[in-house]
Amino acid sequence: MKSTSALIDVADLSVRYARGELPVLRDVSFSMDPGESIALVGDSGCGKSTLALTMMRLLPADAMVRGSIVLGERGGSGPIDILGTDERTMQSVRGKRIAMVFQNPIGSLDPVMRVGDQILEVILAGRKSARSATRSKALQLLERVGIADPSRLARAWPHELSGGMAQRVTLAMALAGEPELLIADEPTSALDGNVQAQIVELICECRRDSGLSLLLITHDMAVADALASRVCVMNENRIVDDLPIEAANASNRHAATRRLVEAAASKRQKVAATMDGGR
Amino acid sequence: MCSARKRMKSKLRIMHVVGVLLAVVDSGIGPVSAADHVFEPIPANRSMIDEGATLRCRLRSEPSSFNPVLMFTAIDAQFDYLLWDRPFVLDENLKWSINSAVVESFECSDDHREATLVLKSGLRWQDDTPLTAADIVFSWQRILDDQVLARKARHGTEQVSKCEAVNPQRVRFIFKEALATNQWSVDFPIVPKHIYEPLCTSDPTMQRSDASVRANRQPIGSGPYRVTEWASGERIVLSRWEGYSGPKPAFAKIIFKVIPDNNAALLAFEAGDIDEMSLAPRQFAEDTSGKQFADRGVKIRGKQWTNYYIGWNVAGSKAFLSDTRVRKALGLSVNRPLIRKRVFHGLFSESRGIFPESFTARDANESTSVFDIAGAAKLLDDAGWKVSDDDGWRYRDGGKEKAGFVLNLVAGSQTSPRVADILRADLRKLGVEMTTQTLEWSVFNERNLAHQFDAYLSAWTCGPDPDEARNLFHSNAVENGRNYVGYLNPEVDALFDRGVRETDPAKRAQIYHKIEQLILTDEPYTFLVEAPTLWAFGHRVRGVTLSPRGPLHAFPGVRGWWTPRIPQPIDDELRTGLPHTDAP
Amino acid sequence: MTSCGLDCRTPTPHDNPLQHRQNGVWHYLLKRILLTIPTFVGIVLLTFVVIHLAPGSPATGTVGGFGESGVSAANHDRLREHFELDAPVTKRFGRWIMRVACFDFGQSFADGQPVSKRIIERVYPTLILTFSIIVIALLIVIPVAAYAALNAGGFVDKVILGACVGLYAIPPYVFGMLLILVVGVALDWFPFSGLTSEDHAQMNGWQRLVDLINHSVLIGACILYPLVAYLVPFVRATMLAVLKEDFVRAAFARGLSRRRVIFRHVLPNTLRPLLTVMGLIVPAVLGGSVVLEVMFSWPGMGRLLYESILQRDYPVIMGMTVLSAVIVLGVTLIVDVLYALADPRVRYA
Repeated sequence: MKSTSALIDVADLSVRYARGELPVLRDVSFSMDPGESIALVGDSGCGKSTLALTMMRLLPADAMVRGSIVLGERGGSGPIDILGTDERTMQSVRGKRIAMVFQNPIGSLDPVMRVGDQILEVILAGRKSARSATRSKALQLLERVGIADPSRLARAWPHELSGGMAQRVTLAMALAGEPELLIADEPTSALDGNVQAQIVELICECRRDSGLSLLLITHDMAVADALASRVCVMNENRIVDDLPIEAANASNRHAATRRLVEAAASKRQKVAATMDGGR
Repeated sequence: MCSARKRMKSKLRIMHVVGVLLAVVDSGIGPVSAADHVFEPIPANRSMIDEGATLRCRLRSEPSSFNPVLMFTAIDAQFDYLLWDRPFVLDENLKWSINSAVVESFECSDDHREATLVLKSGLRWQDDTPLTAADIVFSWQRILDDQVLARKARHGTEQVSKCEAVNPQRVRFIFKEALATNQWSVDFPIVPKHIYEPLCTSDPTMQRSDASVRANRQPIGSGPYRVTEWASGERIVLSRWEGYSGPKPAFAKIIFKVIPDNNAALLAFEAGDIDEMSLAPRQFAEDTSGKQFADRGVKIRGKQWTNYYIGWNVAGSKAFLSDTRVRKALGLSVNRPLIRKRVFHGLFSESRGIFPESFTARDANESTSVFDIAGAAKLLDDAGWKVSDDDGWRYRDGGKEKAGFVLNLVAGSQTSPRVADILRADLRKLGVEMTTQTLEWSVFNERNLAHQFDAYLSAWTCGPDPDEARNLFHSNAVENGRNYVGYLNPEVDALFDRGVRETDPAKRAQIYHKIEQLILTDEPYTFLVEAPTLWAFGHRVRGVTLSPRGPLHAFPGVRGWWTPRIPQPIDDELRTGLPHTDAP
Repeated sequence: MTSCGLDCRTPTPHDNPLQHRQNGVWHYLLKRILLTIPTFVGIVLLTFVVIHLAPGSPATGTVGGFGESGVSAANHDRLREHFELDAPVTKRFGRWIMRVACFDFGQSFADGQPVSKRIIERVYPTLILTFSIIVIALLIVIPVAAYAALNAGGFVDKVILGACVGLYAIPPYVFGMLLILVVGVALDWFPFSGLTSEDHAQMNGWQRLVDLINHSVLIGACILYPLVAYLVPFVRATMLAVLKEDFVRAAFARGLSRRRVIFRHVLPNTLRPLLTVMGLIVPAVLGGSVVLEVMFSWPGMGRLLYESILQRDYPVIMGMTVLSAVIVLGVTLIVDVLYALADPRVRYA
C-alpha cells in the first residue's frame, strides 16, 4: 500500500459481476485531495454509481473487484485499504469518514420509521452518548440543513415529506458522522428545478462550513459546474477525461465530454426560455 | 374428500401389505374356532370376571338422544339396552322375549285383544324413585302424542289402543286388532314419569326446552349403566349403576370413543385404544391379516339379515322398467358371483330371498340368483327391445326409445360404484345402457320419496317380524312408507294383511313364503347379495353374542360381555401385603 | 430554506402530526367496520338461501335405524313439520333473523342441543389449535426465511427451499397417515385420536394442559408443515426484495451495523406483506381441516360443519356461518388495522 497525502486514492479499479459478461468498471484511477470537490460526470449506465458503491464497499456479494482504494490517514489511524480491510473497520468508515447521499431521497429512508428516529439511529451508530444529547444534536443537524421546525419534522413519517425535504434529511444524516468525504450520487436529479437549486446551494454551504470534500456524481454538467472544481468524465465504464472544470469547455476534449457540455448548455437555454416565457 | 380417502386407504393398504410380508403367520379369514373364546358366556363364578374393567367401544358418530322415545338411529340404539330396561327385549336371534329382570309375569288373552303385564317389585330408576306401571302408561301416552317426534318408538305402539295401570305393578294393554304382531306392540321404551311429566307441561315435544335437552342427555335411566361424561365429538362414558336390581354387568365402565373414519378406527384398535369395531369388507379381507392385528384381537364373521338390492321404478315414466320381462332380464344380468368375489372379497353370501329362512317355509335349496345373459337377451327380445344394427344398443320395436336407465348411488359408499361397474359392463353386452348418478344421502332419499328415479342401489335389513316388510312391498307404503318403486300387487297386499292376522306360526310362514315368491316373480327389486356382520374384538373381550343385527343391538348385547380377571403376580401381593381387590 | 415547513405535506400544517395520526387510525377502523357489515350480511344471506334451496332436507338427511335405511313418507311429513320446513324460505329467514337478533341461534336438528352450546364446545379446540399453530409457524418461518434470504444462493438456502417445495408437495392426509403409523403406532410417542385422555376430567390444570398438547401434536404438525413450507419461500422472497431497497443500502452507507439494519429496517418491512398473507391464511387453516379432524378423530369445527351439512342441520350450519364470518371478517379487520399501524402510508389512503 503506497503512502499518500491524498484523501482517497483509487487505482486501476475494475469491477465485474459473476453473472455478467462485461466489466462495469475498467481500470479507473483517480485521487482526491482533502477539501477538493470532484464531479464525476457521464451518461447513465457508464459506471458512476458502481464506482461510488465500490468506494463504500457496498457492492453486491457477487461483484468481483480488482485494483485498490486507499483512504488517507486521519488522526491516529493510518491509511485504510477499503477493499482489503475487515467489515468492522468499514463500518467505522461509512458515515464517519465517507458519507453518501442517494438519488432517491424518499426511497433511501425506511418507510416505517419516523424521520427523527432514523437520524438518532445514525448519530448513535457505533457511538455511546446520552440520549438527550443525541436528540439535541439531531435537531441541530436538521436546523443546519435548513429545516425550520425540526422537532415537528422529527415526528413525521418519510412518506409525509416532499423530495426536497427528504434530501435535506438525508443530507443531515450524512453530516451526522462528521465525514471528510461526501459522495453525492445524483443528489438533485429526482427533484424539481427550484428545489434542485436549493439543494445545490445547501451542499455548497455545508462544504464551506466544514471543509468537506465532495465527490459529486451527476450527468448534468450544470450541477457539476456549480459544485465542483474538477471534473472526471466517464464513458463506457472508464474515466476518459480528468480536468479542471473550466477546461471542460475546451474543444480538444473527449467526445463524451463535449456531448455532456453541449447537453448542459442546451438545457440551460431551454430553462431560460421557459422561464422567460413564464414571465 | 372422497378421493382423499381413497388415496389414504391405498397408502394404508401398502403399509398392511408390508405388514403381511413381515408376519410369520398369515391367518387370513381364520376359522371361527380360533376365536371361540370371544363367545364364552359370562361365568357364574364372578371371581373369574374382572369387574373393575373398562370396555372401550368405537362410535362412528354421536347419538341424537338418550331418550328412548326419541331414539331412532342405529347409533342411538347402541345405548338403549345399556341405559334403559324394558319388559320385553330382542334376544340374540331377534326373537321377542320377556326380560326376566323386569317382568314378574306377562299374559296375553286367547283372542289376542288384551294383555296383562306384572312388573317385578322393587324396580327403581337410577335416582332411586320406584319404577311403576304409571311410568309405562306415561311413556305410552308420550309415544302416541302427536307433538312428540317418536320416529321409531311409535311404530307398532299405535296398535295399543289402551294402556292402563291396574295397580303400581300391573299394566293392562288393549289392542286395536287381534294381530300376530301385538307382542311387538307392547315392546315400547319406558321413560321416567317423575322426570318428564313436569317438563312436558312447558315442553310437550320432550326435546325443545333446555331442561328437556338436559334430561335427554343426562338421563335418569332404568338400566345398569348411566351416562357420566359426554365430551362432544370425542367420547361418551357410561359407568355401572351399582343400584341396579337385575344381573350385574361385568364392566365397570364403558367408554364409547367417537372415531368417524374406518381406517383411523382400525389403527386405534391395533394400538389397543378400542376393544371392538365393525370392519368394512376390505378391512376384514385384507387389512387385518397381519401380525399387528393378530396381536390385538380376532375378527368375526356372522350372519346378518341385510340384503343389497336394486329398486326399479315400476310405476315411473320409463316404460322400459314397467315391463316385468325387462326387470327379470336385468335381474338375470347381475353377475352375483363376480360381485361377491371382486367387490365383497368373497365375504358376502348369496342373496336367497327377502326373508330369513326362519320366517318362511322356503326350501333351503331354492336359488333365486341366476346369471344368464342369453336368457336376459331373449326376455328383452320378447318384450320388444331389439338390438339395433347401427349402434348395438336396444331400441323398442325399432323405434327411438333406447333401452337404458340411470342407477342412483349413495355418495361415500366404497362398494356400490364397483357393483355398478360390473353390472354396467354386463348390460352393455346386452345392449342396455346403464348410467350412474351418485347422490348425497339426503338428496338420494329425497328423490326416492318423490319417486323421481329410474333405479337405486340400497340395502335393506329385515326386521324381527316379517310384517315389517310391508313397508317396502305393500301398496300403502307407496305414499306412507318406503315403497319408493311404486310396486302394486293386490295379491301381495292381501297376503300381508292376512299374515299380520294369522297367529299360527306355521301358517304364517306359508303366507310369507308366498309373498316372497310373488315378489321374486314380479321383481320390483333385484336382490344382489346378503351382507354379513364383520367385526373385530380385542383378545380380552368375552361373552359376545352375534344377532342378525350384529353384536351390539340385541339383548343382552354388551351387557353380557366380560373380561377375565388377570391373576395378580404373587410378588406384587407380597409387596403390598394385600390381596388384589376390585376397583370400586 | 424558510419554506421547509410548507414542504412537509401534512394536511393541516398547524396540527400536531401525532394527534392527526391517531384520528387517522380511528377513522380508518370505523370505515373498515362499516365496510364489513354489508359483507357479513351478504355471506349470511347467501348461505341461508343456498342451503335452504339446495336439494335434500333435514327430514331426509338423518341416518335411519334398522330396516330404516331410508325415510318413510309418513315420518318425512312429520319431520318437515317438526323442523318448520313448510314455510317459504323468506319467512324462515325472517324468523331466523329475529331469533339471532336476540342471540338465539336455535336448536340443532341433529341432537336438540342449543346451537350456541354445540358450536362453542367444538370451536375452542379448533381456534386454540389454529392460532397456536400460526404463532409456532411464524416463530419457525421468520428466522428460517431470514437466514435463507441473507444467505441466498448458498447451500443452506437451497436445502431450505428444496425442503419447502418437497414438504408442500406432500398432501396433509398422507403426512398424517405417516405420522399416525410411525409416531403414533410404531413409536407410540403421541396419541393420534381425540383431544383428551379418558381420565382428563380427573387431572389437575397442569396435567390437563400437557394432555391437550399431547393430543394436538400430531394433528398440529399436519397443519403446521404446509404453512411453514408455504411461508418460508414467501418471506424469503419478500426479504430479498426488501434487501434490494434503496433505504437498506442507504442504511449501510450511513454506517449502521448489519445487525441493526436487518432487525430494525429489513425485518419490519418484510413483515408487513406477511401480515396481509396471514389475513388470508387464517380462514384457510380454520376451514381446511375437515380431513385431518376426521383422520385424528379430533373434535373440531371442520368436522361439526361437515356432519351438519350432510345432515342438513340448518341451525348449526347457519350458526357456524355466522361464527366463521365473524372470525374471518374479524381477522381481516385486525390485520388491516395492524397493517395500518405498521405502515403509516396506508392510514391516509
